[in-house]
Amino acid sequence: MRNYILKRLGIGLLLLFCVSFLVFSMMYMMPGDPVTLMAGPLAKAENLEGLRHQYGLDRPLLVQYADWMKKMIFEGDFGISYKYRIDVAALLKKAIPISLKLTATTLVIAEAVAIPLGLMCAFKKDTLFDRITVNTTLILTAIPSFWLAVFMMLIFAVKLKWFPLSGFESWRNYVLPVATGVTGGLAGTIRLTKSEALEVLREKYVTTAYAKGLDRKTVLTKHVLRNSLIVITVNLFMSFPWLISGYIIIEKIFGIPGMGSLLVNSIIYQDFNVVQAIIMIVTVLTIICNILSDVVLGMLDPRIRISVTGGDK
Amino acid sequence: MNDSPLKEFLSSCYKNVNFMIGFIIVLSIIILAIFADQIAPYGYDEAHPQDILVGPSSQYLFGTDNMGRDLFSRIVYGTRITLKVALIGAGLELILGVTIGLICGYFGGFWDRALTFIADMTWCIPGMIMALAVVTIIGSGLTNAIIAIALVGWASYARMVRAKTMSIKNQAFIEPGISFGESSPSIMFRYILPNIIPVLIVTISMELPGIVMSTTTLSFLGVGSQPPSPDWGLMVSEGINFISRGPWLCIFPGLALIYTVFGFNVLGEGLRDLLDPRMKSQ
Repeated sequence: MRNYILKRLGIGLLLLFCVSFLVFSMMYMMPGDPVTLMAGPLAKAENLEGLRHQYGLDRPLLVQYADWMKKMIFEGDFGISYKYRIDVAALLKKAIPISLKLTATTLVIAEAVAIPLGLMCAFKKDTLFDRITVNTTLILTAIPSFWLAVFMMLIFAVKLKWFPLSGFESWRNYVLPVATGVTGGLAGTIRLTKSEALEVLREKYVTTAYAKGLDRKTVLTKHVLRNSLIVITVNLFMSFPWLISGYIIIEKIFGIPGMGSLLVNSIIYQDFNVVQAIIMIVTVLTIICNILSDVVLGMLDPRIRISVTGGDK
Repeated sequence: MNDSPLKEFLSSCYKNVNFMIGFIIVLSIIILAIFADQIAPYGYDEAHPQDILVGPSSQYLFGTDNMGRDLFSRIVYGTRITLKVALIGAGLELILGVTIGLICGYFGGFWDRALTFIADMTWCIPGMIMALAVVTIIGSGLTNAIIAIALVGWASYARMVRAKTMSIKNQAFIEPGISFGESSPSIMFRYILPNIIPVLIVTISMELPGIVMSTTTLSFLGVGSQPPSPDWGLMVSEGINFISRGPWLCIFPGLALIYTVFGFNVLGEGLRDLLDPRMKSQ
């Protein structure tokens, strides 16, 4: 088990290192020059050179990369934003809590709705309830989140005027974005929960539990629910970083100044340092969540522990 | 193939509700795309300055936009873009994924580890973020958006093909091929690949809706199709500016997209049940 965890950690670190280099060199390949963007079109050539030197952009790629990594790891310094002329860390400090609030709320609500629905579908397989839910999820997966966001805005903000169109000051501003996020994430979790519970229902220990004379309710809550929740929890873990990226569009549409909006705007303004910082943070989150879920699953299921040697799951 | 298994297969297709619904939806989109010139009452770029932001009526089925262009015609022409996205996107992912997956699975060893590692790397960065970054580097535009989505999405094919290749390459029918002196590429593409095709078709049909959805999202964000293209994602984002005066501008392109993605989804489910009973949905 210890070897397994060490191996996962090692791979994770290596991945992180490679992704960081990839991201860094990608920013380098982007068209346009941050200094020109920062100084404006009227700046003189020698001033540009000065600025470039001031920000260390005239050094070789590898030197810049090493410097960037060192500052990021040891000082938590992501460099400065070329557009806003302030530390990226300060920008992130404002944006991250907003995104976190959104994603956490969405995750809690989505799971609280989806897991019971999925379990009900599995327990009442092939009933009317199951059919309606499954067909609804089929339609839900076909709805793009950007359209859902616009549609919600149209109905609840423009027509009914229940909630404000955009902004982020009061809780009322969060209702529509969260509703969009929840609806988007519902289908996947319902389907996963259902298939997981069905799998558990087929296990021999469930038959044994029934044979022992336990009533249906006890079997479902004590055996099926517990065992199917393991995989569901792990998946919940893994969905977190993806949720953040899903919020890019929702934040952009509702004008919420979270990480998503910041990322899209920074890409448009070619604010390299901000883009790098956000991609790195999301990547680190993803890798940590992957490792955690692998380790948890490995502890619970020896089959996965063994198969991971080949690198495929 | 002789006649009876084919007939049997066709009749099982016919009986599969999901497959039939999906097939009809996708077929309707293909027909719309092919006969767009005949079906659409106006050109997708034909402006009627006297009829700006007119609501749905008998003259303009879905209304007109801020330049007086007929929304219905634009949506009909949009099917061409959607199908182009689906075809090119899936094709690119397929070529990348199958080649890499076959090489990894067949040779194993160093290349396998290296390529699996690269595939793992693409899994670490959420797709939309990666695609946005790639589009920024190679420039906006529909084709570039499709390339970005393909560069992000090939890993799932590679994974699947790799696993299948590893299990097939040790089977008895590969041995004679090797002893007859067949080259490695020939073993990979003539012996192994045909055995993967059913699973591959299922994978493509499951991935197609995702490709269409992501590319449309890029267009919505303004880095995919550029105006005046009748791309549905772009149309929704242009419509937001007129959301209170012309809500139909946002609603109808979105409905068209949902119809298409739903069709691909259901078709995929049906194909999975038909071609790969082990993956059968619950």
